[in-house]
Amino acid sequence: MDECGGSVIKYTSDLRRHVAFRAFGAYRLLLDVHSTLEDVEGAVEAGQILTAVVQARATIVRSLSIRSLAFGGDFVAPYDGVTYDPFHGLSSDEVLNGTALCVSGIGLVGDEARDWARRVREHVEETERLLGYPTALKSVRTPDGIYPALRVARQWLPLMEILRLPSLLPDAWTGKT
Amino acid sequence: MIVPDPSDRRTHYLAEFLGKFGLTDVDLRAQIDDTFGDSKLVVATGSVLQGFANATSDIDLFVIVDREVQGLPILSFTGGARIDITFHTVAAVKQHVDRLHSAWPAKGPLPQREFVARKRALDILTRFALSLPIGGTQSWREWRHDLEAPWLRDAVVQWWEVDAIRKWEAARFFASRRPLLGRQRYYEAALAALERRAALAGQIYFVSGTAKWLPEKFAAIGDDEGLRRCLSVLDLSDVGYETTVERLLREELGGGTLRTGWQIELTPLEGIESFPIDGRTLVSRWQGRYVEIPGHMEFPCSDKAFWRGDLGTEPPLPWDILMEEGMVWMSVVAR
Repeated sequence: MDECGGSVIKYTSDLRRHVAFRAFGAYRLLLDVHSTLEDVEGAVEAGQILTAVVQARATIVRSLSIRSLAFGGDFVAPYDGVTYDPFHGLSSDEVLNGTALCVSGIGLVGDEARDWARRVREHVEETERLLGYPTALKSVRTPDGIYPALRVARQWLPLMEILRLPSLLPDAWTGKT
Repeated sequence: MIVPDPSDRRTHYLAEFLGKFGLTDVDLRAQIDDTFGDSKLVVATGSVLQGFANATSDIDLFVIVDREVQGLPILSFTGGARIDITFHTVAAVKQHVDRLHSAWPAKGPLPQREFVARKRALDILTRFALSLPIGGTQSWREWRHDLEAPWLRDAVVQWWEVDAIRKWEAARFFASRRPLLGRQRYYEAALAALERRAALAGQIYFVSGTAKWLPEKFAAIGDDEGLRRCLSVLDLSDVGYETTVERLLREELGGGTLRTGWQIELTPLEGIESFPIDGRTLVSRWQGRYVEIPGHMEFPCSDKAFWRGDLGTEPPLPWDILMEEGMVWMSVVAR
C-alpha cells in the first residue's frame, strides 16, 4: 500500500478475485446478512433468545462466507447446496470463534443479550470493513436502501462482464425464476 | 376492517400488528393498484400471521394476477410498517400446485434448478395456506382454502425428510475431508430433521436456508423435547458433535425402509467448464478455483447426472474430488 494525496492506493495480484470479493461480498451482505442480523436483534428484544441464536448462526456463517471470497471461496453461494463450503480458505480459529460467539448467547436476557447481539453485529461490521467501501452499505430493507444497492451493482457490472463473472443480481430480480 | 375472530388467531395477530402502526386492512389493500391487472386474490401472510413476529418483522402481501409480472420485490413503508408485496401469476401458482402433487424425491436427473423450483413452490403455497385473505374473488378464496388440506402438510414433511437425508449424506462425506464443513452439514441435517418433526405436528411455515422460526414452532406446540434437541446441536465445538447428531438423526428419521429406493445423484453446477491439458482435464467453476482430474472429460454436459449411487456410498474418483471442491450439485433421487 502507498499513500498518495491522502488516499490509500491498494494493489491486488488477482483482479478477478478482488472484484468478486467486493461485489459479491457487498450483495451477500445486503441481501442475506443484513436481514438475518435484523432477525437476531428483533428476537433479542422479543425475548426469543433461541431464535436469536439460530439466526446468529446463519448470520455468522454468511459473514464468514463473505470473508472466504477473498481466499478462494465460491463466487455464487448456493446456501442450499450441500457441497458449498462457506468457510473455504479461512482458518479453523476464525470459524470456531464465530460459531462460539453464537452459542455464547444461549440463555442470555436483557442487557446481556443486547451486548451479545452487538458483538454479532460487530462481526458483520468487520466483514463490511474488509470489503473496503467508502461509506456504510445501507440495508435494502430500509426506505432509502434499495437504490444505493442498485447503484453498487451498476458500478460493478461492466467490469464483471469483462471478467466473465456470473450475475450479481438475484435470479428473481432478473426474471430467471 | 379486520375484526379479531376468537376462532381464527390470524385475525388477532394481523389486527395487533397493524394496530401498532395505526393501520387497518384497508390501508393494506391500498398498497395494491391495478398496474398488473385485476387482483384475483390478495392475502396477508408471513411470520406475523403465525404469532412469531417481533419488532423487526414485516408483513407480506401476496397478490395473484392474470398477467406476466417480474419478480423484483416491491417494498412499501407505510406508517412505519414494512410491507413486502409480491405478485404471482395465475399460471405460476397453478404450476406450483402441480409440482407439489408430483412425487418427491423425483427420479433423476434432478439438477439445482429443479430443487429450487420445488422449494419456491413450497415457500409460496405454504404462505398462501397460512394467510388471511383481504381481497379477491370467491373462487380464488376457495382455491386458497384448499391449500389447508393435508396434502400440503405432507409435501412439507416429505421435503424436510429428503433434505435431512441429503445433508446427512453430505455430512458423512465431508466429516473426514473437511471436518468443520462436515460439522456444518451435520448441523443443517439436524435442523432439517427437526423442521420435519415440527411439520408433522402441523407447523408448516416454510423458511428455507435458515431454521429461523424453529424454536418458536416448538414453543407454539409445547414440544420441549424438540427445543432440547435444537439446543443440543448448536455448538460445533462440542467433543463428539458428530456422534450426537448421528444419534439425533437416527431417532428423528429412523431406519426408513421406504428409502431403499432412494439414491444420491451428482449433476453439474452452473458455471462449470473444462480444459484438456496433457491427457488430463482442468475443471473450474466460473474460473474461480481449478481442480485437475485424470482423463479427458467435457463440461458442461447439460443436466446429465455424473454419478448415482445408493445412500451410504461415496462417489468414486473423480466425482469425489469435484464434490469436495463444490463443483457439483448433490440431490437425493428416486431410483
